[in-house]
Amino acid sequence: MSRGYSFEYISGFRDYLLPASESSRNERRSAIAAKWGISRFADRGETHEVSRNHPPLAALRNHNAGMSRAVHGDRFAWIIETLRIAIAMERFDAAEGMANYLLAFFDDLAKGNVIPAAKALCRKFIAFGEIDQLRHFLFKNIAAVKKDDSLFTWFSAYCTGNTEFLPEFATLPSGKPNAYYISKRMAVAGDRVLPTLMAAGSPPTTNLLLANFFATRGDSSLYRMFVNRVLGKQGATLVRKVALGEDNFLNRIAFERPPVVPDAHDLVSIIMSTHNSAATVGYAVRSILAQSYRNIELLICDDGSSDATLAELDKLRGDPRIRMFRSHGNQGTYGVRNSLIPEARGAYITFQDSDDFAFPDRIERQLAFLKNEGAAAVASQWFRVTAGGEFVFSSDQAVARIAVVSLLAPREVFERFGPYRQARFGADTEFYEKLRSRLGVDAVRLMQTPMIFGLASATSLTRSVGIEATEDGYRAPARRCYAAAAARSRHIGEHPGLPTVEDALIEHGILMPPTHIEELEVAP
Amino acid sequence: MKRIGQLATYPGRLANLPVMLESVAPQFDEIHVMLNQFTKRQQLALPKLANVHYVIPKSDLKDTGKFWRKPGAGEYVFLMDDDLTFPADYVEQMIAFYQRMPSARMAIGLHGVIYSDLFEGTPSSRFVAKFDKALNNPILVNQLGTGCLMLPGELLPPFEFMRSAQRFVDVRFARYCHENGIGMACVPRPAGWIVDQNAEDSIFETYTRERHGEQLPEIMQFAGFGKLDVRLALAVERT
Repeated sequence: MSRGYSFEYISGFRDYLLPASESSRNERRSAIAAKWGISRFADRGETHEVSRNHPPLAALRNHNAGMSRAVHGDRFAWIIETLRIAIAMERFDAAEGMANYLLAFFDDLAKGNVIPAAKALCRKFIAFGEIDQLRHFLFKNIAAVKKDDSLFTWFSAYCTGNTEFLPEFATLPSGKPNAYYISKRMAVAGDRVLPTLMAAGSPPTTNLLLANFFATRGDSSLYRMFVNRVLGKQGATLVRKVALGEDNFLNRIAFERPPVVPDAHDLVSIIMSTHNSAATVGYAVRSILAQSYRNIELLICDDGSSDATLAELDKLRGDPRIRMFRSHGNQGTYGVRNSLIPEARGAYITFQDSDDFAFPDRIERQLAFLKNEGAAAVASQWFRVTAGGEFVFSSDQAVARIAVVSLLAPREVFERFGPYRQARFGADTEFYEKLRSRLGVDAVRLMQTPMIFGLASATSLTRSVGIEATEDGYRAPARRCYAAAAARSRHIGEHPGLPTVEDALIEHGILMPPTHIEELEVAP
Repeated sequence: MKRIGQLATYPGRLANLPVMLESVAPQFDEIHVMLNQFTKRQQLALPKLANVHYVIPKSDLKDTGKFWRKPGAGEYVFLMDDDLTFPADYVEQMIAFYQRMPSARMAIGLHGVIYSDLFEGTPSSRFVAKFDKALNNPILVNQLGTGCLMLPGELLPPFEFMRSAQRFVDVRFARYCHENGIGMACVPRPAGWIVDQNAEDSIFETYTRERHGEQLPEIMQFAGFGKLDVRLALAVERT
């Protein structure tokens, strides 16, 4: 009985195995192209060239190269590090078996390996949604939990009741506030959360937890004050007014107006797709039109909405910088991007989601950073926020995270390394990682500054049942499969005997066939 | 149980083969030797031992010749390389090791490999318990070298399964074991228990080292600690 494959998510994997030749791979690709109407693949069979300046892959190469010596020395230390790398790289296909092996030998681990192993195992349990196993493991290893911030955070989040706030879990073993726990329990915490926050000084984390505290009370004035403390320290434009209420606060927030950029010679194209976005597209578009960098065009393509999105878009047509398009059917965000990149007239291209709010100097700062640093591409960070204004913390206690949607680059970058994968989700992450692996991390930069409010709502793709990706690290099976296939492709390259990434997408029904788009006439 | 030895050779090893055969022949009921590319004259130079049977293939089978013979019931099959020198108690010790294993569905050997769980085709991405080096405790592995292993005859892969793997029999054999739930254990021994006679590069050194990338899809099926049967791994290490 076979015990599973590296590609266990792909049921027909064995069919791909032999004979393995370039022509058989091309035949499979041709069949996919004919069936799904894909004319260009995201990896077009080009030679797999990884930049020397890509620390994650370089680290893996070094780790692998030292395997025999390391395993002869301390087998488990090597396995723990490999599991950590696998999860960080999203090689979920490899993580599962390694975790099982490590778990079986857990009681044999040397003392110094226990906490690193426990952390790697917990990350795996969470990524796979194995919460009962996580709880059992944490209770069994409570001594390690008391010593380590990550284990303590997971214990506080998963092993205590959702409807109670226990002050003893509000502070991590290191003495820092347990922002993830506090933010998750803010609604039930009441004033009991304040002593912890008052004792923590005023780092951004504390200020944004206080903003969350006042968001739960609907106190717009104090909310704005604590948000602005964080924005001000980052040199960002401040919030001028905000009204927390029953509907999405992003409809009721306004920033100060930064000065208009005087010499905006280069046209920047911003691409946005909409799909049933009537409730959010208004503020998403207005936040782009209010940019301090004025020389922009906004290409909006409605991707088969069945709600009032088109009517909402119609209201926004007055600005000549907007160009409207419509997909014939629903092809997904990345199909829209692939269709609109050739239509873009700008020297630079970036993107905006239809439920995100861009800070008014986002384009200005990203473009300046790109030019000043001589980078090939630049992304910024974002704050994920709820409709009620609360900042979403991740289980690693971070609140600002990379916003791959914000990737801004000269159009040649997209022409050379595109198209985006025709996936229902996640193709921007794959594209970003592909750029980093090909061009190096010095060329593809991440600004450590949030410039977007990204809406975390029940209707977000990251929350949709079956394709979730949550802030604790859980990835739905379809996401794990796609992420693993893409990571494997970056790591190993296209191999005639291995399934393509499209095979993984088809297996999970997340390949989105491209459709035609048409540009809509501007009303006279 | 009958003790059967199986190996494949070629004229380049004529100098080694008689030494090897004469050292192991007393330990076996039968030894079957596949003579790839041998001329009649070269055949005449081979030692005539009562329990050694030579087979002339119609075409060069290379290392898959080890698998050409279909074992009968009640046999322990020992796959061997022609350039190794085996100790006088080799067969007896290997059978004793096998009988201590926690499962009957096992192959045991001396050259064990565990690939990286994130294997990318480079030969350094492996843990190797080399056959002539000491190993203190038994360990379950992804792959055994087919130059010094034994298993019950009914677990030997059919020749047809091996036929297309002339230059990478170890990989194909490991794939067969993985697909058929056969554990592979590398057994403990002192350094030098098995001796490599030959300074000439073996197939492993000249071919496999260079061509792991080509076997990548096949190796990835069973590569890594995560692909080992953890219950069996625990049981093997506790023996």
